[in-house]
Amino acid sequence: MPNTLVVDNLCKNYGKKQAVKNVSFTVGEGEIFALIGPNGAGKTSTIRVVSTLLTPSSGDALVDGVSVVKNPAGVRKLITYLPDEAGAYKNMTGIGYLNFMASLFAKNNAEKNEMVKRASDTCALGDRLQDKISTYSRGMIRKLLLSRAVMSSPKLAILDEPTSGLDIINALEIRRMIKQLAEGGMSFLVSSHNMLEIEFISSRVGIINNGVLLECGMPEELKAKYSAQNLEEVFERAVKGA
Amino acid sequence: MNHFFVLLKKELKDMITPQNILPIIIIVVIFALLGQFIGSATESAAKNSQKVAVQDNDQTPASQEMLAKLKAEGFELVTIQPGAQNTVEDAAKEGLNSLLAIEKGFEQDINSGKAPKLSLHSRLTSFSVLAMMGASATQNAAEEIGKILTAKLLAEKGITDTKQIENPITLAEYTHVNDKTAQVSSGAVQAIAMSQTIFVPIIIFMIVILASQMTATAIANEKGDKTLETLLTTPVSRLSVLFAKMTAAGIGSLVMSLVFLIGFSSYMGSLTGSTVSGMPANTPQVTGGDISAAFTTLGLSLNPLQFVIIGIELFTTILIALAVSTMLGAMAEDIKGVQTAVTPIMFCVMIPYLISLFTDISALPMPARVFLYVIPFTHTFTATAEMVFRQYGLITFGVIYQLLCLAVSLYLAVRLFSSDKLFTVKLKKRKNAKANAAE
Repeated sequence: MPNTLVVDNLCKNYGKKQAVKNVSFTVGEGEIFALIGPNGAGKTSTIRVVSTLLTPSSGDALVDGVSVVKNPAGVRKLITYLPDEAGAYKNMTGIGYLNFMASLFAKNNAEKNEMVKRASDTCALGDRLQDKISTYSRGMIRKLLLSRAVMSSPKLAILDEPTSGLDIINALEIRRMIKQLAEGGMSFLVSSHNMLEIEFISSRVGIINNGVLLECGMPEELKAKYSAQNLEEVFERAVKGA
Repeated sequence: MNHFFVLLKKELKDMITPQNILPIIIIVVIFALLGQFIGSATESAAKNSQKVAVQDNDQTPASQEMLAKLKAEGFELVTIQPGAQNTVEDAAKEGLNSLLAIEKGFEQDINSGKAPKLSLHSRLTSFSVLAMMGASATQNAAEEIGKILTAKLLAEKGITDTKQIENPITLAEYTHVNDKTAQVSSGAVQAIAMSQTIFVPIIIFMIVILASQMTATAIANEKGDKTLETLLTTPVSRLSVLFAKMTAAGIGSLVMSLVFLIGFSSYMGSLTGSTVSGMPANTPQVTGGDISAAFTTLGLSLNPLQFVIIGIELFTTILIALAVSTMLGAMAEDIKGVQTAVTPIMFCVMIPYLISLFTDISALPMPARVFLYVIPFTHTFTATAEMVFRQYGLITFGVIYQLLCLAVSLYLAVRLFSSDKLFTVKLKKRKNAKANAAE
């Protein structure tokens, strides 16, 4: 499986604080790779570096061979990013938002319309797309944003806590959407502190704590390695053993 | 697709919300109503400018002669019954706030060589300009009676040509500006100049404050909703995002300023126009045409080049405010913190604005001048006066200094937008911010 993302010895410092310490991992094509760890572990910093919002202090990340250090503009053509608890422009309608975002990715109107159609089908919000986003529930906004994140068919979709704050039904729907899209060949880098959710959707996981990637592998492998029932137990034992 | 225009369209759409449009509509309506009210009030005051309430308590041929001569001079007399108790209230019923009473013994005093007594009663209901206009007409009537009496006394002494005694001097008023001179009262020139130039600082003040708040709010809003993070990971340059925001805020503030300008013009126009027409007939007046000619003669009218320079200073001021507010908005903790974040800009605009309204900044002591000239916005407030009074050194310094400030603030804004600091720097709790950014 060719690698869509290669993270190589990535470090990110904020002043004297080292938020990410020599993190390395890969994400293959059509793979859902999840970074799991508690709040403040370094997940979001890693994700922000890969999504070109932050520059690494050292190391690099290559998306489809394009470096976030040398060519961040090139990387942005290959990725989409959904921040944790992100909102959308409340004064816009759902369809207006999709049109606006598609205009930033598409080269022409035909491509834009195709993207908007794909997003409309993915989010399945139907007629509600004509309503203002300010009238949407949290789950509807998340679906809209997720459909926005995948409408340009990126090589790598980066999702930070994709289901945080959602009820069970909405969270399940979002997870199914991610799985379906991965089956279609799209790669995902997902972060979450909800390890049970990650076990459900991810192909491989990376356990990160205090900026250090402690473990990396398939959930089943890790569970077997630590003789654990679930990823939460894997995490607990990996952290204790670190 | 042109990303900048896509972003600009979105920014402009963001601004066209009921919350933003409603205040503009309210302002226009308020100014229109104020203008109408002031217009009708001044019109009625002007109508009353020659109307005088008189009470003849002497009822003699001499007092009646006086009243007849006042009528002949163009005064419209409203007679209040002699001996009435509430004379001022009676005058008020006629729409007049003052009354001139010819007291008992008026004729007797004249005949016995004493100064006859007149009483002027004014009913004070407010301190407004319009309220004062009625009283001045009554005062003019009293002065007119004095003149009539002087003429009468001189005639009795055999002096018939009283003009020279009434006006022993001929005062010619000249106003000098730089090396130019015009025969016009400096008071009249100042009054008209002030009524015209008062708009400039008000508009600058409005534009800078509105533009700063709009930009800072837009940035803080996007940061809070994390839509900025989303935008900055799309194939759009960060500078496009930055300049689209600044351009939209600039357009928005210019539109709002235009509304303010139209509203203020209508309001001030009704006020100043009626004050001139409200002057008593015997007050020496300078007509609009004379003042206009005097303005040109004195070089007080700005030429196109001077307008362009003022325009450059105004535009530079807006851009500086936009660049600084972009940085402050990016550093605001949240949307609530925007007001606090833009406070430094508000102070930097308010201080030179108020001082330039009340005094000549170039005449202040050196430390005060240095303090004010360090604020880049000051130079825009003083530009018109410097232009008129040919302080070319100050103008040149102002333009160069402002362009320098603009270059520095734009450079810093671009640096902030191009760096990690956009997501890690906050105005308060920097240590916490770094810790937060770590996750």
